[in-house]
Amino acid sequence: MAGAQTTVKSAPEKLPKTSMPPASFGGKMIYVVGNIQGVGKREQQEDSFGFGNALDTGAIDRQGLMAVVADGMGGMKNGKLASDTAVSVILDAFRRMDLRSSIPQQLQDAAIAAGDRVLDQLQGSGGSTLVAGLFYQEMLWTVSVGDSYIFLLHDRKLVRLNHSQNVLSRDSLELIMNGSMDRTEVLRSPEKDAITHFLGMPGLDETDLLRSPLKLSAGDVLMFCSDGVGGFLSERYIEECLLERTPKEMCDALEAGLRSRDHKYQDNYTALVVQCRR
Amino acid sequence: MAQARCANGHIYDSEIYDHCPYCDRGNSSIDFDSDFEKTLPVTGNTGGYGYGMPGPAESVRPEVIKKTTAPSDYVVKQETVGHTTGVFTFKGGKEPVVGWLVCVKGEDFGKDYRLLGKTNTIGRGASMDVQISGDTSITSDVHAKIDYDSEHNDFYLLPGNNKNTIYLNMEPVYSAKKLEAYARMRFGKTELLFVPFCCERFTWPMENGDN
Repeated sequence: MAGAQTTVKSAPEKLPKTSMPPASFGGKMIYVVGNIQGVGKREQQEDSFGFGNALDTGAIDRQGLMAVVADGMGGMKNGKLASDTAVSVILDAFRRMDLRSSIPQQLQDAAIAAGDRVLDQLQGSGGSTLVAGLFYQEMLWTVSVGDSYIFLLHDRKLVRLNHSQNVLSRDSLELIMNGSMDRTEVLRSPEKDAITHFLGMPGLDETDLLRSPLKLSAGDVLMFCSDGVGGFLSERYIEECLLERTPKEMCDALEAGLRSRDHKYQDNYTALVVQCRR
Repeated sequence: MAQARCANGHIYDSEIYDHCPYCDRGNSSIDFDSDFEKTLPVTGNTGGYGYGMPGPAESVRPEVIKKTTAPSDYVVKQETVGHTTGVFTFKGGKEPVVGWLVCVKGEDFGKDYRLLGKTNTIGRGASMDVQISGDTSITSDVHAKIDYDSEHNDFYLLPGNNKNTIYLNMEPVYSAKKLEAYARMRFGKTELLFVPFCCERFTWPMENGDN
């Protein structure tokens, strides 16, 4: 209307459609990492672990970040050799991955290849578990064999992403298939913790694989750990540790917890922590 | 704290360590006692059990040392492993060669096959020690066997698990037959000559690990 006076503020600059990420100030996601390992009350360390591209943001953008933990089976031969082999084969495969092709397929192939290599070395008399996570373009793919742990802290709540492949799981499933829900006997079995799938067993054909990636949010924390952590600390306590501010503080808290619990037969413990931030 | 990464992909504080403490076989060299105070941060996150009191683990830890192992029904069937441990082996489980078969008639003409210090299975399948893949009249499981007797330095040809007749120097074989150098055997349509490596002139030492 002619004559009407309104203060016209210039409209906020229209942002070009293509470049800006969703409304958040940080922009792209970065991963802050930490790790902790100890021998516990055992004679030697049979866990192995490693990150691929951990501190190199450029490399992470191009090829992703890999976290691997492997727990060598102490009740069989040469657990350390088995877990060392597992970690190197996986990290090696990671370096050669084609991220445009199926990532779950490549992770599974890498796990089977690691198993074959351990089988060559130990002839079926030794083995290792495996948990591994590939972080790429704000998504997470995982693979697991055996009874190590992958945890996700999301929205301040802890959830386990993999399942243990052990006699307890196998027998529980069998019970359910036969219509029973009574696990008393299964829980009493002395070998309930024996693992049914491991790298180095002949005929390994099944891995616990995430076929669709998990979409990551800022604030999410992932932990990859051996049962020296997962089987010796309660989930409630682990959740609190992962609520700490930084991966270093989370790792320190995990270790402090194990230390204070001081279990008589504390197993080798290894934990890798990845915190997603924008 | 300054994060550093070692060649094996471990993260450590380079202000505390000159080199990666985890590469020293992962026995955490952190002195627990002095660090214990430092590692208890003051935070507001004390729901549930509160800090420093981890609470019971999900599965009750048994009061014996539990080492991870396979279930009691885990049996390593030697055939599935791919190569079996031999009658004698070098350090690292490698088996020495004791002789060869050479194909002089049939699809694999000119090809040689290695015999190791154990019972060598012969057949068309991929899991056979001596795989004769081109001849369909050879069974895919064990068509024949050649056994190396390290005690006497002798080789024996044995029939396999099936009804196919095998021939040694044109005679059918129904039980173990000792092999001489250049013995001619026939499986299906394939003929092979036997060439011994271990004989009067040479034997591998008897003790394991002496190579």
